[in-house]
Order: sequence, then structure tokens, then C-alpha cells
Amino acid sequence: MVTVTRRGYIGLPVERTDAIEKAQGKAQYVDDLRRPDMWYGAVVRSPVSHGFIEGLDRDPDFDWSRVVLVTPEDIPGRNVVESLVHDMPFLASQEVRYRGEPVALVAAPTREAARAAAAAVKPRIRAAPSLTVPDDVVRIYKEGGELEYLWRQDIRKGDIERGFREAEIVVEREYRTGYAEQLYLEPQGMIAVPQEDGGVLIEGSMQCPYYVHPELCALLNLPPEKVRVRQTVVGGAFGGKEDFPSLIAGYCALLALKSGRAVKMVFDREEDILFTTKRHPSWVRHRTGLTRDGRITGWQVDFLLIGGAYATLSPVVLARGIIHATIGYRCDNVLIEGRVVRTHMPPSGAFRGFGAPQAFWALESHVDELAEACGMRPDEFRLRNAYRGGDTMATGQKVPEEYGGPAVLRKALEQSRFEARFAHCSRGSTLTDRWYGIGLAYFCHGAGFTGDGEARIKARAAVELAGGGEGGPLVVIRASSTEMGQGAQTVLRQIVAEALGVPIESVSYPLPDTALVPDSGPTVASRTTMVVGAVLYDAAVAMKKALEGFVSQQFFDGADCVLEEAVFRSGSGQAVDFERAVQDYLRTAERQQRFEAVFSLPPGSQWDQENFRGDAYPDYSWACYVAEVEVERATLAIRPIRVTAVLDIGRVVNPVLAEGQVEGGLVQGLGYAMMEKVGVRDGLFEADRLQTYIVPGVLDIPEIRITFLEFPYRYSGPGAKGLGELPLNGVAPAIGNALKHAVGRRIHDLPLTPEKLFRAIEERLVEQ
Amino acid sequence: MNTESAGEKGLGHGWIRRTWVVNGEEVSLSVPPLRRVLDILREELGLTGTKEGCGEGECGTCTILVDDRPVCSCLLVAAQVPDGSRILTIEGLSAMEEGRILEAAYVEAGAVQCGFCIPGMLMASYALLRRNGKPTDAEIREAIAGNICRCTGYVKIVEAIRLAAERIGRAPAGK
Amino acid sequence: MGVRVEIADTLQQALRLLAESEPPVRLLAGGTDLLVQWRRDPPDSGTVIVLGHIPELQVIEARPEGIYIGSGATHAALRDSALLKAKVPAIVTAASGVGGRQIQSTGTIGGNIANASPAADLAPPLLIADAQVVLQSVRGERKVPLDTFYRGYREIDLREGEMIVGFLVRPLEPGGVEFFRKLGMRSAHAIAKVSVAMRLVLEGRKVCRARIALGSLAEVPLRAEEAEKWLEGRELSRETIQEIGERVRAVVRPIDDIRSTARYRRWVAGNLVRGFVESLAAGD
Repeated sequence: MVTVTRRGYIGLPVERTDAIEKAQGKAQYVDDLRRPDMWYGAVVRSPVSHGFIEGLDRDPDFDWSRVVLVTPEDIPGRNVVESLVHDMPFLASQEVRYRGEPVALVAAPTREAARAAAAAVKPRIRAAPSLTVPDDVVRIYKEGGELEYLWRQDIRKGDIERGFREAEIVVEREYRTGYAEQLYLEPQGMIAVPQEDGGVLIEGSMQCPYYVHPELCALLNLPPEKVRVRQTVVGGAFGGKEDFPSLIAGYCALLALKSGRAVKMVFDREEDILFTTKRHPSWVRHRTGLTRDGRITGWQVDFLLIGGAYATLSPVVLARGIIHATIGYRCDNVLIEGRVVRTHMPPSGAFRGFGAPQAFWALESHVDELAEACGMRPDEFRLRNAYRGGDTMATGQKVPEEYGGPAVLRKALEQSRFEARFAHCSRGSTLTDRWYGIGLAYFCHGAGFTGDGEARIKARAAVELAGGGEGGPLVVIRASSTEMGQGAQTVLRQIVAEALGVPIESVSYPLPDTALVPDSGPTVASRTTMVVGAVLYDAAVAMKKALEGFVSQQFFDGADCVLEEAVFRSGSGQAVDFERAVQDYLRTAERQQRFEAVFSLPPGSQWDQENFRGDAYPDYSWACYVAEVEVERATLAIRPIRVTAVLDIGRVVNPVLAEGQVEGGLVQGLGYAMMEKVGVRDGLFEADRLQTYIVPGVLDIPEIRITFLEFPYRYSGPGAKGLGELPLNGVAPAIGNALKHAVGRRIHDLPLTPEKLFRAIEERLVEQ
Repeated sequence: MNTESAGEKGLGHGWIRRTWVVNGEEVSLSVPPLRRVLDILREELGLTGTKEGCGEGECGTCTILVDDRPVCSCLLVAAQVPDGSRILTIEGLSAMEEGRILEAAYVEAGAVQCGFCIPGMLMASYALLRRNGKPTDAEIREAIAGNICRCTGYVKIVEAIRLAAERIGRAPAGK
Repeated sequence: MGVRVEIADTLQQALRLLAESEPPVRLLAGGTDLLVQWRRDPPDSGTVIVLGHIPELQVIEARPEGIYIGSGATHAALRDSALLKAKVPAIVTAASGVGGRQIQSTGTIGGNIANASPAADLAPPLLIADAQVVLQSVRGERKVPLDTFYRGYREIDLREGEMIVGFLVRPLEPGGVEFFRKLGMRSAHAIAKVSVAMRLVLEGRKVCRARIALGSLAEVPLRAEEAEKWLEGRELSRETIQEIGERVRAVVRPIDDIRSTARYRRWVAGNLVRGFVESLAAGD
């Protein structure tokens, strides 16, 4: 069910811009592209998890005549990834910090030849001790042993000592999650093409062209104008193509510049799973003080993420994790201590949710345990403790008088008939073959960058007038936001068409190219529709005003006019067609063709980055999931039968696309909850292919009922908030809570498998 | 022709000659006997609509029809496909009435997101509809159980196939 | 350099190539297992014999000595066979659950057994049908019961120059019922973490004949012979139902691996067998 307000194009289920080409197999993903005289690249990797490089040996029997080898000495610029913490080299030159870390690169005329050449380069490495297994990290942490931290951050509110002094009940529990793989279906890939001016053109699969661009300038020691980054059609990303593409682009560029040829590198699935980023494993301990009547008096959270060999995005994943660690519930005394541990594994990174799924697995499982501890139903406890208008969150951010949280919670409870169904639970009764359980999760996602991120980025985007003609567009969007399947291309066109008052067919949004578009910030953090959409709306409004002014002078003798449905109309009923007006307008070259705008945070926003105090996000999207599951007694097979999802994502720009995001994120969350698992063995991810890394198929999905409630973002024209990540955040705890309800035991670590359920209830089952 | 691959590890010694009917047209080529049909389609014939997702038959992204049966072209080598075999790829399906109906249904239902799985999904959908014009929801699900989509959660894909089945059923007879 | 590839279009040709080609010789049928293995470890010497469309290997028919299934029959052919559905229904259920439709189009029953995996989907239903493996070489034919064909982990009784040409299975007796269930890490398209096949022949409430076979519960697909013997001759009583699960649990030798745990596998195997017996008792 979708109940959304329609306002012109906003709220209209417009068909996707890119769908037909994709369905016909005509869309060109990076591996579909060939460039003249193109070679293929491959990576020489460290065979050990930790050690010191003593040299590289080249197999003397191998034919090296048609191979280009790149070692760290060949790097013209800085051999370091510039992201947040400058600790990761493109190619390790002295110390290797994870098994599979790149130490050299090769290019050869074919894929097979490149792979063979990479295998013929043997790094000589003196091995050193390593730490790779998440269980070991957690054990050392709990024993108070020595660990190296990539990042730490705490959040404090009120007086935690006092919070526990006031408590009548204290509940302490630990929650765990493991590695998870984004598993975008299109593997990582790039092509670098050397340019005549000594520069390089990068084309490939990426979320953030303006992450790749500065990295390559620094790596190659090239001025910005000599590096051009162009996005190709992206076959899914989910965070996996946020920062990693900078590396593979760098590798292709180094090989291309050294060989003087275009070089393509596309990972096969195994290489992609083994050596690209994963979701951070987590260990979270909640210690919570309560009064007997269910008020939360003090809340202490120990939030541990397992990072990897280098920091990369870990500081911001941690930031999002700790901000969401207790979010949604009133409490005056909070202490959240966040840590990211350094290990000898590939860097953990971005994956839809970005720290929030780990936070909500712990939080929403824990809240059920709190409810139980004071003898309340999970829905009652949540309604009693949910933020009210004027409350403050852990960071001190003030909750607005009207917000979506309580509304989605009530609606989901009502639609799922939670109270009635909760009452008739089986709780592991021996009288039935199938156990039934119902559980809920109440959660949110801070939309946009954390803290003052948006203020620092100052996202820019523009709309440009074009000549039209031959059915060409009259308006072109210039933004660096990428289409990766989520629908940005369509939704941003809707917003611009709406702001201008023209048909959507007049507006085009080509794939970003850094030579043509401003930096709108990366396509991450559920920020595109909300932030870039807001900017484009403003830019389009400026364009509309300029055109209206022009038409008023040119055609209506200065009489005011309004552009609506592609026609300028004056008060006295005169009319001029949009296309004709644009063509007239463009006839004089001095007239402004490009209208750019910049994002700004809501007025009065404040953020103290050191102490994590203030307005953590410009706004929040809220959701409540109610999951119903069945457990087969004989096998403990867990079947989710229905999920009732109620979400507030602000104004829904395109209801069909929005549903698609919810369904997709929900099913991805189901995989995280129930089957996706990457162990670690000998310093490598153990599930390294699709035969062992199991993701949901069509037969695993429950009935999904979706409702949107709209509490618009008040500081933008379109009023949209973040959507991309929210749908994944709450799936696992909703299923976990339903499972607890069904069998009477709680599982504290993901994924929720029959094997774990068996272990949890083994004694009881054997007695039967 | 990719001469570098001759005799390379894993492709088998020498070359074999193959004549297939690809998307209705007869095609003859010399290929290493163990070269994957997926690579032949993409690299020798330029039919890049067929994508590779996993290389081991787990994701269904590379699904094509060989003599009307859906197969993973990543787990099929030239020597396994005899002369005269009829191969249908997304490019061929696209040129057919059923293909156009299926594509339109996918677009309308909102079943396309990143699109990488979609050609394989459409091939599997077509394989179903050509043997069963009135599939139940269970039959639709079973037909695409070998195709992984990581974006959509499958809901709208099932809807699209249902929609296409209705429309193909209503379309005038005769292919 | 490189492996030689030969294509066999007749059985005689295949057998001759098997006898005469440069070793090591590998047979490639559907390729759904072998080509996956070769991705990591491609053959670089010896010979690959590609089995083309060889009619005698595709046969599925009733013969005086039993139902004959050619080794080249694909999972799709098994799935769609009315004869098998009537006479050895567990094979049809198992074949329908191998991979997705795409894998079923090309993967063969011969390949599923020759791959020698303890998780082979078709092994348990063949075992409960007392399958004989029919082997041929240029020297002649040999028949081996499937339960002794498996020698150890990934080891089968296939001699040099021999190939599996088919399976001879015992059709379901009057009063017989078959059951097959596979558990994977997801609902479909998954490798079995546990599979169970059973055939029981009943006279009233008495079990006359019992066959119980288990996949992924030992280093080879396993027949629970002690449990079968115990069950034969017994009434479908409460006690029988209680006991049979334990009897099955006593014979399995499961391990912990990436897909499941030994304890769970042992427990669930007993439950599935018990559940089937229970459903028969209740159904009467």
C-alpha cells in the first residue's frame, strides 16, 4: 500500500529512465566496453597476512616480453590513499598488512596472460604475527588484552553513574554480527585510457567519481584537469563501490601510463569477494538501567567494530554506529564508547546501513530484552520510551515536536495486529509441528552525512539549458550523483521537472563525467534524493525565474508570467511554449545557461566533532518492521512468512522506485539476518564464492507489505529524506525478536541459523 | 580472433570449428574447445548483453537458451555445444514479440534496478513462458530460483512475469 | 601444451577414446561440477573427452531387470519423466531440487554420482532404489551396487578405462512409499547440508522392507542399513517412531563445515526419518 501525496512529478510513479536499455541488454557496463589496443591488468598480492617485503622475484621461465610490471617505485605521485586517514598505500612497499594486499601490478594483452604474469611474480616476504579472526579480537578485547585501534569515539550525555544509581533493574547483554559481502552482481572494474596530453581518462563502475578524481591526481602527480573520471553503467554497489574503486582505478591508471595503452581490470567473483571491503563485524554490549515500571534511567554501550588493515571509512562507519546505538528511546544518562580495531584483514568498509545495521541488531534485540525484564510487551515498552517532541538524543540533538517515529510505530502495530498475534504465540510448544512468532523492530536512519559533513562538502549541482532539437533534452542535470540501480537518474529528473514545470522528457541526466559536472558529494549515506535533490530543486527554481523574467520581457511586454506544464503564461492569457522560449533565450550567448546551487544545513545546525555533541544529522527517516516467522520443529528451519513495513522517508518522490528500495533492502537484510556469513580462515574470507556465500533467492522471501507515511524534510523544496539504507537496518532484529517469540530462546549473534537455534535449545529438544 | 588463447591453460589444445544458429543467424567460428560459450558470445560475437556474475552457475546472470532450454553460459564450453544448436541470447529475445512484451512488463512493474541480472532473468522468464503460458506464482518463482537479484527483492520481478504472461496470453497467436 | 579435447558422439567412440587417450583422462558431461572445479584448477595435460549427445546414454526406460536410467539423463529429463515419477518418485523430487532450471538443463545423473560428493543430491534416492551402477569399458560391462561403489571421501570404484553408462534401479513395490528431503542454506539452489531419502514397503501397519539413505552425513552418501534392518518387520507404533530416529543418529558420521554443524546434522537426520515414519503411521 502506498499513500503518498502527489504534487506534479513528485509522488508520481514515473518509469525508470534506464530500464529499457538494461532490459534489452544494451546498457554498457564496464566489462562490455573495449578500447583500441586495450590490455588487461592484474594484481600481484601478498601471500601472507602480515610481513615485511624483501623483494619481488620474477619467474625467469616466464615470457615477460609482452608484460608491463608496475611496482611502488613506478608511482609518480604519492603512494597513499588520501581518504580520511592517510594510512593505506596503493601498493605496499615495505610492510604488508593483509593477505592479498597488492604489492605490484601487471598488464598483458589478454586477461589470461595478465593473470599468468601476476602469478609469475613472487613477492619475498618475511612473515610476522597477525590477527585475523574476529572471535580472537573479541576475546582479547573482553580479556582486556592489547589491541590496536584505528579509531575511537565516545558519546556522553548526562551522568551515567547517576543513571545506574536510579535503576531498579539492570540488564546487560552482548550482541554480535559478522562480516557481510555487498555482492553487487557486477564485479568491480575500471578502464584507464592514457590521453595525448599526458593525462588519463578513467571509466568504470563506481559510486563516487569525485572520490576517484583527487586520489588519482595525487597518485599520478597530475593536475585536476588532466584526470577525467567517467561513470559507466553500474551493476549494483551498496557501498561496495564507495571507496574501493579509487584503488582499482589507480591500478589501471598506473598500468596505462606506464604501458601507454588502455588497460582494463575487471575482477572475477572470487577476487572481488576475497579482496574488497566487507561490512564490519561487531560486538556490542548494552548495559541498561531501568525502573520497574519501564523507564530507562541509564544506558552504557560498548561498541566495537572490527576494522581491518587500514582505516579507510572506519571512522565514519563508527560514527554512524554509535549515534544510532541507543537512538529512538528517551534516556537522560548515556555513555557510548566506540572503538574500531585494527587487524590483518582487508579493510572493512561501506555496506548499506554503514554501522547502523550492527547498531540496530544490538539495540532492537536489547529493547525486547528490556521489555521482558520489566514484564512489558515489546510494543508497550517501545511506545512508553519512544522520543517525544522536545526530547534530546544521545548527542543532544533536539527531537522535533512532530516526527515520523511514533506514527510509523503505531501504524505498523495496528496493521500487523501485533498485540493480538503476540498473545497467541507458541513459545516452543511441543504440540505443534510449526512454531509461530511475531517480533518488531523500531529504527531509523540519519539522512545525509554525519555531523558537519554536509556543511564541509557543500554539495553543488547544476541544471543547464540545452538546445533541444531532434528530440534532444532542453534541460540537462549536471551532478556527480551516480545511478547504481537505486533510481537516482529518474528521481532527480522528476525533481527538476517538477521545480521547472516542464515534462520529464525535457530533462536529461547523463552519467557523471568529472569534466562536465560539479562535485555534488559522493553517492552514499542516503543523501542523494534529500541533499542533491534539494540542491537541484533550488537550481531549477533559479533557472525557472530567469526564464520567466526573460519571457516576460521578450514576449509579454514586461507582464509577469509563470512556467507551468511547459508553457509560459501571463496574467492576461498570453502563452509561449517552453521549447521556443529556451531556443530564443539561447540565441544570445551571454545569457546564463547554467544554474548552480549549493546545499546548506538547516538554519541553526550545530556540531561539535570532538565531543560528538549537537545535530548529528539534518533529519531522520523512521521505520517499523513487524516480522512473522514460522519454525519447523523437526528441522528448526526458519521461514519468514510476512513483514509489515511502515516507513517515513519524508516526501516519496517515486512510489514504485521507493517500494523497490524497501523490498530490495529488506531482502538484503534478510540475507544478513538469516544466511549471509563470511568466516575467516588462514587470513582469507572463507566464503569466497557464490556457492558458499549464500544470498536470498526468490523462494526465500516473505510476503512484504509496505506503507509510507510522509513527514517531509522541512528545509528543502522536494521534502524528501533518506531512503537507500533504512530498509536494511531493522530486518535482523525484527526476525530475531520473532524467533525468540516462536521458540522461547534468543540468539545474540547473526546470522540466525537452524544450527544456532539448535544449540540454543538443544537440551530441551533432546528431552522431548 | 583472439589468437593468444590458443593452447592456453584450461582452454584445451588446438581449435574446433563450430556452426551454430545464434539468434536466428548461422554463425561459424573456430574456437578453443574449452572456451566458455559466455566468452564466445561476449568477445567473439560482441553479444555483451549476456553478463557474467559468478562464473560458476550460481547466479543465473549469464542465462541463455540452447535449443530452448535455459542454461548458464558460464558453465558451457564450445565442445559441449554441437553443430546446428540454436542459441538465443537477450539480443535475440529483444527482437521477438515475446521479448518486447517481457521487457515492457519488467519496465512497467519497476522490476529493473541495477539491471545486471535482468538479461538472465528475462531469458529464464521466457524459458518459462514458452512452455507454460499460464504459470502460477509458484511456477514463476521456481523458474527463476536459479537467478540471483541483489537489488529488487524479487517482488516486482515476479509481478513483471505475471504481467507478461497475461499479455502474451492475450496477444494474437502465431510467432 | 594444454589438455587434448576429444568429442565422442557415440558410446563406442567414447569407450575407445577412454582406452586409448593420453592420461589423465577426464569425462565431461554436463559440466556443472567439473567446469566449476576447473575454474580454480584447470586441466593442463592428458585428455578431456566431451560426451556429446549420445542417445544410449539418455535412455530412461523400464526393463525386465528394473528401471534403467542412462548416465547422460539430465536433471531436467529426470524431473519431467512420468515413468520415474510413478516408479522412483524420490529421484524426481531430488532432481527438481538440483540447482535452478539452468543447472537442471545440463547437469546429468552420471555426473552427479561420478563427482563423488557426499552431498550429491541424487545419491540418496538412488541408494533407496537399490541402484546398480552400470559401468562399461572396451573390455566389457560391470555392475556394482551403488552403496559399495562409494569407497571413501570423494573416492569411487571406477576403474581405468571405465565410464558410468547408467543406473539400474528397483521400481517402487506395491505398498511402497518414497520420501526425499534436502536442507540447504536457503530454500532452493543450494548444496545439501543434510539430505534424507527413504523407501518403505508396508503391509497394513507393518514395515516389510525399509531403505534409508542419507546425504552430507558421512564422508560418502550413506545407507543406514542397521536402522533399515531394525525397522523391517516392525509395526508403525509409537515406540517404533520414537526409536527409529535414534537408530539413524547412531549410524551417521557428520562433520562441522562451512554449511552446518555435526550436532545439528545428526539431530535433524533422525528427525526427518522419524517424521516420515510418523506421517505414514498417521496417514493410515
